[in-house]
Amino acid sequence: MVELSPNDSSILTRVARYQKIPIRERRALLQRATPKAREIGLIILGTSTGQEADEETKAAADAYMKSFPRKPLKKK
Amino acid sequence: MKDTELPIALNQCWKAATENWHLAISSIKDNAKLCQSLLQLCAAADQACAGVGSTYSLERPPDLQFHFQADDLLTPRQNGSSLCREVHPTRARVLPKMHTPWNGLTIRSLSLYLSLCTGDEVSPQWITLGSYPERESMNLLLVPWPFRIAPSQFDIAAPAKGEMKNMPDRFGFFGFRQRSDAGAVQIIQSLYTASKAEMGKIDGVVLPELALLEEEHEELRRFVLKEEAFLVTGVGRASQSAEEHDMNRVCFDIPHEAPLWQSKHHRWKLDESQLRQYSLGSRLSVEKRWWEHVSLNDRRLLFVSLPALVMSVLICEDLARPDPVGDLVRAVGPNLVIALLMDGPQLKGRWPERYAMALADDPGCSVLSLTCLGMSELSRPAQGPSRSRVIALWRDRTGTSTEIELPAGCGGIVISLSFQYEEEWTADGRRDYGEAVFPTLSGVRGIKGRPEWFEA
Repeated sequence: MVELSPNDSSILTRVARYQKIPIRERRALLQRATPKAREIGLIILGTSTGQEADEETKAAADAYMKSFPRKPLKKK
Repeated sequence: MKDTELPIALNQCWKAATENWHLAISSIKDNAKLCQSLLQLCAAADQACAGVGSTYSLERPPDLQFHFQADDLLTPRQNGSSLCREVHPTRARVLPKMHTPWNGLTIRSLSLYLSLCTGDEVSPQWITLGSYPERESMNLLLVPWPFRIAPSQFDIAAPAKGEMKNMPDRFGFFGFRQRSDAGAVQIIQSLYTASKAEMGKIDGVVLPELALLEEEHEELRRFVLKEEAFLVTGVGRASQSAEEHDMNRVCFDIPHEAPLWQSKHHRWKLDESQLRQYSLGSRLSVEKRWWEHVSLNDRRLLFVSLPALVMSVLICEDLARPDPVGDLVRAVGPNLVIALLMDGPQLKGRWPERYAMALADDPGCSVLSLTCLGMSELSRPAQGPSRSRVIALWRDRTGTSTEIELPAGCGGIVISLSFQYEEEWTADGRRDYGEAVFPTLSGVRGIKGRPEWFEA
């Protein structure tokens, strides 16, 4: 199982929770996270499908997305 | 964050404050306009921070950018967490607040969402966990481990080199040595499996102070996390040399999170009456007072923010001593406080109930205290029959305490907590519209153990 530091958890919570904050801003936040948390964050953001990620990474991303289900993007 | 200019009314309040920088604090009360301005500023700051520190999903988004930044400020750093950007935490810090006192008026009655914390002796760490699913109730498996404790596990501890050289002869240090051959992990795993079969789901496992050795904790945490539950347990280690102290800490393990821990803040002092109560007179002289030989260097206090509630854990004496931990707990008012003890039966009228009552009254925390069966059985009652199977006590704002008794033949108890919502008010008449969360005790069920577990 992935073990995220308090800093990583805080970042991923914000990435998952503040869905109305622009993706580029949330993605920038991931620069301050560890590589593992960044991988999880990109799955949460939907910019990575996570297909190549290992099971524990997918499970962690899934946990965040269960807490904060991703809202569908509005069509322009 | 979008509008950088203050509203006119607030600007006037701020002006009144800045025009009076020179005023002595003792004179503020004579200046009605200034008092009014300061209260207005306090109320405005408080309202702007509604919901800060919680991990609710944002159905009704407030000022998103503001909350986004506030959550960043709360991430624990070298000096802990604080919502202040420009005030160094060693001077003062502001943290989120979960409860506003119902009874009486104090400085804490002025805000719903923000708490002022002075003093930097303890480093508060605000841990935000968005990976934990939101729920309206929770099942906790309480295991009063160890089931047996012998007086021989207590012993005199030599002071570390240069430690307390001026300590009078009537004081000494003691240590506690845990047993490593008792099969703790297998027993707790069995109880978990049985309780899950009985209750459907178990959200967390709670064990008392010094329940596990480090290696036992490592093995058990892997099991519990795999089950997608959290683990709160006391972990200890007797010192290996004269150069070091014993270890006494609480470990908090949550799925997908790195291990969290917090050391005990206050030493236990064994006096004559306690030595007699626990039959320790042959191990430690009743002529002396004995301090627990633990280090007090690392003083952090975890506030674990799960969706729907903020939780804190205290170790034994930390529940009883008013400062420095007590002040922080009262300021923030976590929804749930778990006290891990190595104590006698958790009976109404004993010290854990008194201190739990204080936290339940002001600020309004729900408090669970848990001791181990071994220590509870070692405790001889001052009068009347022994009630050593009362291993936990629940107290919340409803005003009654509930003794939680381990039924005969049981090795654990599952308690069900329901999250209820109540409205809280500030002294200036603002309210939170029923957003304050109160865990209440909504079920207690014993989990059968095997007879051989309880043999010496």
